[in-house]
Formats: sequence, structure tokens, C-alpha cells
Amino acid sequence: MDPETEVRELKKRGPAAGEEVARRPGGQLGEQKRSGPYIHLVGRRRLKLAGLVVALVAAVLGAVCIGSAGIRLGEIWDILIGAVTATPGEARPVAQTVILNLRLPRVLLAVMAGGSLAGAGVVMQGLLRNPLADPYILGISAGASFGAALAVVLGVGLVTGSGLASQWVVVANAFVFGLLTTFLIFGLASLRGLAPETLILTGVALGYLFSAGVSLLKYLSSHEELRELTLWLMGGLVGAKWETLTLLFPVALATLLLLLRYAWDLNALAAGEEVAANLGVNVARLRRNGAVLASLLASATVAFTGIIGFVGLVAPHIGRFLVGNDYRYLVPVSCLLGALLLLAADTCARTLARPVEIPVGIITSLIGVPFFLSLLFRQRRRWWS
Amino acid sequence: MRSKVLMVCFFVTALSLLPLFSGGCATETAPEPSGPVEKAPVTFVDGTDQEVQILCPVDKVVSITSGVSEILYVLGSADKIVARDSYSVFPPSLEGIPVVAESSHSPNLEAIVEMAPDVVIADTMLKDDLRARLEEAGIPVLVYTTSYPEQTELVVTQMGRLVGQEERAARLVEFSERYYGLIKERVAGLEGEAKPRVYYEWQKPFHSAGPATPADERISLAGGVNIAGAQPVKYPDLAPEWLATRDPQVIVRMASRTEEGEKMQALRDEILGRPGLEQATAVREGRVYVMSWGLGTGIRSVIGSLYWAKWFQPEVFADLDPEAVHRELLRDFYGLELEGDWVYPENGGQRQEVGGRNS
Amino acid sequence: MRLAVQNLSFNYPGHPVLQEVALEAEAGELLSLVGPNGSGKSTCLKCLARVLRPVGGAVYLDGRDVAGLSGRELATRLGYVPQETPQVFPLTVYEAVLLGRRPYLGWSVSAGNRQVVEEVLRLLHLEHLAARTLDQLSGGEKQRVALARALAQEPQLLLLDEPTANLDIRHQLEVLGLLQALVRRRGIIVFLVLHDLNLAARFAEKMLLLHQGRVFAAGSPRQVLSPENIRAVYGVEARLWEDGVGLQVVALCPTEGWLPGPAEAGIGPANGSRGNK
Repeated sequence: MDPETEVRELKKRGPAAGEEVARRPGGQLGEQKRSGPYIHLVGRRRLKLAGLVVALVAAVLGAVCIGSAGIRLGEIWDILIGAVTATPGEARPVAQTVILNLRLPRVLLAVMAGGSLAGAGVVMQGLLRNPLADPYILGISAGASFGAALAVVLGVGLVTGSGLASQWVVVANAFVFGLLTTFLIFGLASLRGLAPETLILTGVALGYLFSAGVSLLKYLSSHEELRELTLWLMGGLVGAKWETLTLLFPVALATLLLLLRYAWDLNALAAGEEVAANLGVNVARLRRNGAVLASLLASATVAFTGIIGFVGLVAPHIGRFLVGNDYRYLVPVSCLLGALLLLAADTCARTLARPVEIPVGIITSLIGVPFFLSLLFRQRRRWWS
Repeated sequence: MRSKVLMVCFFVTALSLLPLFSGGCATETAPEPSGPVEKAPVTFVDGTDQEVQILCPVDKVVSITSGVSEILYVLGSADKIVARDSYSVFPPSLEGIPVVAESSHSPNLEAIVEMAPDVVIADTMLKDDLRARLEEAGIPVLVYTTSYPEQTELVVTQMGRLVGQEERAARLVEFSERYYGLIKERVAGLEGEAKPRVYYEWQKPFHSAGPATPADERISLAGGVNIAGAQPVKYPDLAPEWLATRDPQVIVRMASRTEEGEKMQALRDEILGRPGLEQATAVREGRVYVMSWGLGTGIRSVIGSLYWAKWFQPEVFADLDPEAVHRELLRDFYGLELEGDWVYPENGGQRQEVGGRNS
Repeated sequence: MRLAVQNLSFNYPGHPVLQEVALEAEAGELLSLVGPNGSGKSTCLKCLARVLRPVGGAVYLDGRDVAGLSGRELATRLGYVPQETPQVFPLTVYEAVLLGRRPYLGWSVSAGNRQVVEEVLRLLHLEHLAARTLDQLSGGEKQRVALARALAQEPQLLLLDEPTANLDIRHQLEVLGLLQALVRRRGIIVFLVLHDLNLAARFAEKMLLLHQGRVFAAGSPRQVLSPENIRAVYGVEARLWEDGVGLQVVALCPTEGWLPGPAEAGIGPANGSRGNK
């Protein structure tokens, strides 16, 4: 084919393609297709989301039914129905106490803490475009824990003190230090040409720094303060109370809803900052607001449960495997997975060697790590490009 | 915070004065060889069944377990203690002695070796390799579990040998055996339901003691049944809900030696208000007691056991006044008046108060 | 749509990158920006796309300063495709193109938006890849996805940084042909950074030659691509001729001679001066 013919061919083909584009009046279309690859994809994701909700509800019910107290299912059912309808059933008072004041708050705290940590993790991964980002690895949990410890030592009695007001102070202090860490990390991330590894290393280093701070506080504390501090640091999910839940729940829910508003922006950010900016995302504002909200989520949780690692990292990755990287689905799915993971771990922790409690961190690692590794090997995806 | 800085300064100063102290000891003990006391090697079998040979009586002792420091004081040998652990604070005059360990768990080996004591006395928190290091440095080490009731006699007797105060030690043993004997005798007839379910807690909420621990043995001795006595873990964290359903009838909470008065009350209040325990018999009947570790180890552990016996079996021990025995012990052997708070509530709670007046 | 750029300047700390760049374009024009490495082509494009804030000068779209546009206004007027897009958490091709609809979207994706995406996919022959994730694509396919995303924005001004860099010759022609068609039929402005002078000359009506941050020459390819300009800007001796396809440029040798290796091999002008030093 000689060049002239080639050009003629090209010119014939080019406008034809253009014709196709030109036919369409600027995106506002009347006629619509009902099915298509995207509908199929979204349908599957919604199904998975719904499946996870059902699984979580089932897991909560299941977790409420097992424990070292040995209460019959019928009695548990009576107690739950009685609590919902506010009518005293025939259950033993001690069984009521166990279910309503011990088991249920603890199960719900596991759900909330797991969900919050996973939510914070997935958002940080998105904001930093770094698969290793999570509140624990970035040192934010350690920062928050230092803040909370400082509040405890500076004389806000958590155990013996005056209840809710002082709890707010601890949460607020945890938040301030969590946020401080976050800003340090994000400030660093905004430097040009910084390798993602540097960011993670900085987080790890800050984590050590704050852990050392907590140790120093322990060392300098009087016995009274120390006891409060140890109590608080070891609190974990054992210390679950309804007051904690009523405080944590609104914070977690509001923060998560606000974060969901940024789902499309996070999607756009995945294509790079320049593209996101071109798509109308205010990248700086997204980073700032997202970071504040995610640290609030993580700090509030850490303030009540102490540091729980791993959930915030793993749940989002399982989520990515399940529903892909659209944050509209990924954020809720990660939260549900985090809730499931921590609930499963804590249920094992309190029942495997009953009535002796096993630290929940041991279980999260024992279940989570092999699962996570198998996922990584099966998937063989390159996270870094 | 300021007081902590001052405390640190104090320790630093105390440590820097250390050579002066040991020098002082040396000059004091210098005339002794010419005196009547002949040193002779004695073989001890300590609380861990180790044979240890020591030239007795000794002059320089490092005691890094508070129970033994107290016993040495009672034996009139406080001046032989050249260094102590941070918990050896009773009687208060011990506080002037330099500190070389936070507890037996973390001794400052360098400082101890430098002092060249005749013997180091520790509890089982001292790790074997640390003990070996001291022994390699030529320092004999005796290790006891001073909170086991049956080791009290062993420890007191051996301390008597060690410092050449056998006669005084024997009197002390006799005192403690008398009251242990009383408890054993009265508890012997009790069976089954007559023994209350006791929940013992220390260090942090739900942290208890399993079988074959000193606490477990002391609960049995005082006529109670340890709720966690069948657990496979030595010091388990118990599931709160399990504890709630086991319905403890008596709760004993240990307080650290520095927690007094209001702090003991705070510990008790926390248990009274702890979710899940509201229906426990112990909480409903007010049988929740806080006791200082000061009555948990060493010679005064017999006082602790008397309190426990009275708490567990108020009817059986209605005529017993542990506080009076405590006062007697302090006056006769320590030369001290009873001061401060060792248990809370002071008079053993309301039920016991009624019982006490009836007697 | 009318694009006007006045006195655009940009500095990185310490050294100027762009100096007083000016250009104008009307609807239905395809412009190419050429120049050697480091002449400021990408920076110029980024300033136009408002990715970088210029230190001086302004960019006007239909008389409005782009600095004053809201994010959404900018996104619906102007599409920008950088040289490389990082993919840490890879989306599917469909979702990646759907991102272009972000300025038009609320929370969910309406059928109208889906249709735009599907048509763009068809246009760029990406339909069969719609469900794949970006990490499973070849370089050329990724490039087409990035272009598709920008097209899904339905912009009136399309800024493309080396859109043919990773494409084989067939896809190069297809993509440039498509852009040409879009320009003609929909009256948009396409502004390309290109390395290949032949392609630039053949598909662009207007050409800007950048040299050390300044516009060295502007106009039709015939005006811009003279042997003198190429020598001055690239430091290369070139032969130019025109045939039915367009202006053809063949670079012969560096004006200052070959680097030592090829000189020893006996290629090029007699023993370049560098080889003897």
C-alpha cells in the first residue's frame, strides 16, 4: 500500500470514528441500557456487601451465644427478647448480667473497634496510595495511646475517676496525639520524590518513639497512676462498658459517613494526584480532611481498647480482593471485614481456653497472618507499580 | 512530676554515697574477729532446694526481697543489710538503705558485685541465669518464696543461722507457728459448703492465681476455696462472665505496699462497681477486702492469714482480733506501734464488726 | 472554545523552567508541542492543566482565567493525561474510564454516564478489556485507558503528554487519527506533547517548538520545522522533504559530532571533534 492510499484509508477511518463520537449529544442520554458489564460488577459487589452484613449479624448473634459462663441458648434468647421489649423475663439475674452487661458490650465493642480500625486503614491506604498504610504501622495508634496514657497519668482517673467527662478528656488527648502523628506522616508524604518505604519507616520509627514514651510514663508514674495506666493499656476489649459504646458509636458512625463522602475522590486519587486534580478533586483538602477523620476514627478506638494491630492493615486488603478498589464499596466492606475479624479473634480469645483469657493480639495474628499470606500468594498482584 | 525528679536525684545521691556506707560497715565489723564470734561454714538448703555454703554469721547482706528484709530487721540485723530492693520499705527505717534492685526481677548486678556482700537474698522472681552470674562472682545467693506460708519457718530459721540470731528466730517462728496452728486446727473440721468460694485478685482486674501458687495455698489454709484453683494457668486472666457465674462469696484484692487508705478504698469501690459482679454474693454482702502486700509475704504473712481466716470464716474466728495480734507482733518483735492501713475495710467489714462486738 | 495563553512563566526553586510562553488556539485545532528533553514541554502542559500554578501569566478558556474555575468547572472543560499514571490499587478498565465521569456524578452511576463510558471504550477498542484490572494490561493498553478516561470527561480542551509513547506504530496511528477526527467533528482543541517530529508534523496543524523554556518557533509544521531551527534547538543535522503523507524529517547526525562509540565504528561525519579529545 502506497502512502497516498494509506492516508486516504486513514482519513476514511478517522472521521468515521469521529462520527460515532459526534452522534452523542454531550452525555445526556435518554435511551439507556439496562444491563452491561458495570451493572453486573456492581450487582456482584452489592451482593457481597449484603452477604457481609448478614455474616456480621450472624457472627454477633453467635458470639453472644458462646462464652465461658455456660448459659443455655433458650435463656439467652429470653434475655435478649426481654431486653428489647423491656420486660423482665424469667432468666436468672446472673445470666442477665452476663449477657447484657458483659458479653453484649464486649461483642459490640469488638465490632466497632474492628470496623473503625479497618475504616481508618483503608482510607489511609487510599490517601497515601500505599498498601502498607494503617494506623498501627504509621504509628498513629502508638501516638494516640501515648496521648491517652498522658491524660491518664496527668490525673484523669479512668477507673476510679468521674466517669464520662474524664473519658472524653482521654479520647480528646488520644486524638490530639494521633493527629499529630498523622500530620507528621502526611507532611512527609507531601514532600516531592519521597519513596513510599520512607513513609512506612517513619511511621514505624514514630511508633517506637511513642511506645517508648508510654514506657517512660510507666516508669515515672506513681503506683496509683501506674495502676490506672496498666489497667488502661491492658484494657483491650475486656473493659467493654455500655458507656464506652455510647461514646464510641456516634463518633465512629459520623466519621465513617463523612469519609464515605470522599469515596469518589479516593477513587480519583488512585489514578495519581495530577489526574485527580484534573478530575476536580481538591487533593490537598482531601488529604487533610481524610487524614483528620481517619485519625479520629483510629484514636477514639485506641483510647478505649489500647493498641490493636493488624486488623487495620489486613481487612482492607481482603476487601480489595473481594470487591476491588472502588472506595464506595471498599470502605464499607473493609469495615465489615474488620468487625468480623476482630469479633472472631476476640471470641476465640475468650473461649478457646475458657475461662482463662488469651490476649486478643495473639489470636488476630494467628488467624490473620496465614489468611493474609495465602491471599497474597493466590493473588500475585503487584501492589507497587 | 517534680517529686519524681527529686526522687531520681535522691537515688543518684544515695548510690554515689554507697562506697561510704560499705566503708563504714567495714570499720564497724573490723574488731569482730578479735571478739568471741567465730565464723564457720554452714550449708543451707534454700527455698528452691539449692545447697548453698556460707560463712556464718555474715556481716554484709544484700536483701532484694522485702519479706526477708523485714525478717532481718526483726532479728535485729537491719544494720547488716547494705542494699535492698525498692519494695523493702517496712519498717520505714529500712528506707535509708541504698536500693540496688527494683525487685528481685531486675537487680543491678554490677552494683551488687561491687559491694561484695557475704550473701544475696532474693525471691523466685530472680532469674536463674542472674543467680548464676552472682554465684560466678563468688557471692552466695539464697532464694525463697516468702509468700508461701510453709516457707516462713524455713526462712526465719535460716535467717537466724545466717546472722547468728538463732534464739530470736526461734521465738519468732514459735509466734508464727502458734497462730498458723490455731488457723489449721479450727479450719480442719470444715468441709464442702462451709468453705466459701474465694476470688483472689492482684495487679489488675481479673488477674488471679491458679493452683499451687502461694495465694492458692493461703486461701485453702484460711478455710476458703480458690475459684481459680483448677485452672491450668499459673496466673490466669479470668473471663469476667465466668467469674460472674461462679458467684464468689469473698473477694480478696491485693494492694501494693504504697497503696494506703483512700487508694485501698478506691480499689474496693472499683470491684463493687465492676460490671458483672453486682450480683456476686461477695459484692452484695460487702465481703470484698483489700489487703496490702505488706501482710502477704515474710513474717507478717501470718497476720494476713489471720485476716483471711476471719474474712472467710467469721463465725469460727469470732473471738480472733487480727489487728490485736498484729499490734502484739509489732510491739514485741519490731519495737513499733501499729500504724497505717494494712487492710480495708478496717474492721473487717460490717458482718465482722457485729461478730466482733458479740465476742 | 478558545484557548489563550499569555506570558506563562514557571520556576522550580532556583531555575526558570518556562519563560513567557504565549499561544492561542481555536476550536477544531490540533496543536503539537515539540522540543528536546528538558525544554519544558511537560511543565507547560501541567501549567495549562492547572496541575502546576504558574508564577506569571495566565491561561484563558473562552476568556475565563482557569485559575478562577472551580474543580468541577475545570474537569468538564479540560482533560489532562500525564505521561504515566501510577497504579497502586488497580481499578478495572471500566472503573478507570468511569473516573472521567466523576465531575458529572453524585454517588451512584446513572445509565447516561455508563453509556458515555461504554461508547468511549468502544471508540478506543477497549471493550473486551473492560473487566480487566489495569495491572493486567500492556503499556499501550494502559495508555489508551488513560486517554479514554480523559475523553469520558467530554472536555473541550484535551491536554496529552506523549500519548503515543508506549504505543506500537499501528496504535500510534490509530490514536492520532482518532484525535484528529475528534478535533474535526466535535470542534475540541487537542494539545499534544510529542517527541516524534514526523507524527507531529503530519497530524497537527499548528506546532510549537520549545527551547529552554521559551517558544522558539510557532506556526505550521512547515514554518517551524526548518533545518536551521532543528539545528538550533536539538543540535542535530536533519534532512526534510515533503511527500503525500506530510513533512518528513530524518535526523542525520548530531551537529557537534558523534559520541566516541559510533565515531570509532566509522559512522558519521569525519572523526567528530569530541572523539579526538
